[in-house]
Amino acid sequence: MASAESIEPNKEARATAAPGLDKAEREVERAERDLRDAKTEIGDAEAHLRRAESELQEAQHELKHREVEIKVDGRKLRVPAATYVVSEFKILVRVAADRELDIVEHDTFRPLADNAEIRVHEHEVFVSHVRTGGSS
Amino acid sequence: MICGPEALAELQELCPAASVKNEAGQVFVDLPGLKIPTGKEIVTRDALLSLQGHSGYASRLFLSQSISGRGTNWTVHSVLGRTWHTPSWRDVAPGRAIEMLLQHLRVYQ
Repeated sequence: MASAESIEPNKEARATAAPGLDKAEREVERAERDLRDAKTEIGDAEAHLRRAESELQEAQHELKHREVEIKVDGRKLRVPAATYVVSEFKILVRVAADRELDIVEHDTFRPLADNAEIRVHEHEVFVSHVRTGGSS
Repeated sequence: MICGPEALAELQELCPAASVKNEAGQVFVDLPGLKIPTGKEIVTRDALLSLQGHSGYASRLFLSQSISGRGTNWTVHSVLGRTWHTPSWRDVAPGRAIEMLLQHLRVYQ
């Protein structure tokens, strides 16, 4: 009987507070659910970021070590895509230092000074020739 | 000096319509609409390259019109039924056709 007497006031108190308490419990449950969803989304986003970083690194590596096919004096060669000083490029593509090197672009040609820089990135065509010819 | 398929293909990188023509046993490379850098601009001329000796020169590049302010001692010639203009430009080393063409074009740079 003693325990029955002690319970009665709690029941009354709960009955009085019930609407607010139920609402608070629902809100806590909803908040917990939202938190779980947010954690899942963060996990997915982190995984996506790691994948993107990995793909970026692979692309950068591929770009750095990418080779392109070019033509030099009718010879097809594969060289790393890069920016070269013309005099060094001549060594790479086995053109004698005393020959003039021209690049063919837009159906015309452009002579390349030995100290100029040339960006090799696609199917460039080069022609070398001796430095001769003179007016008479 | 002949211009075989490979040599012609090289010239076609510069002038897509390049073709070989003959007149009285003399071989010419026809270069219609050749773009010629002159230092300040690019001019377009029909051109005819003789890889063999012609009019006292070991090789010659004829143009449909002269280029003002470039080259000296221009002369006029009739080749393949057409009038052509060419400056005096010698000592072009024999070699691949495109290599000889680029040497000839140096006079206009």
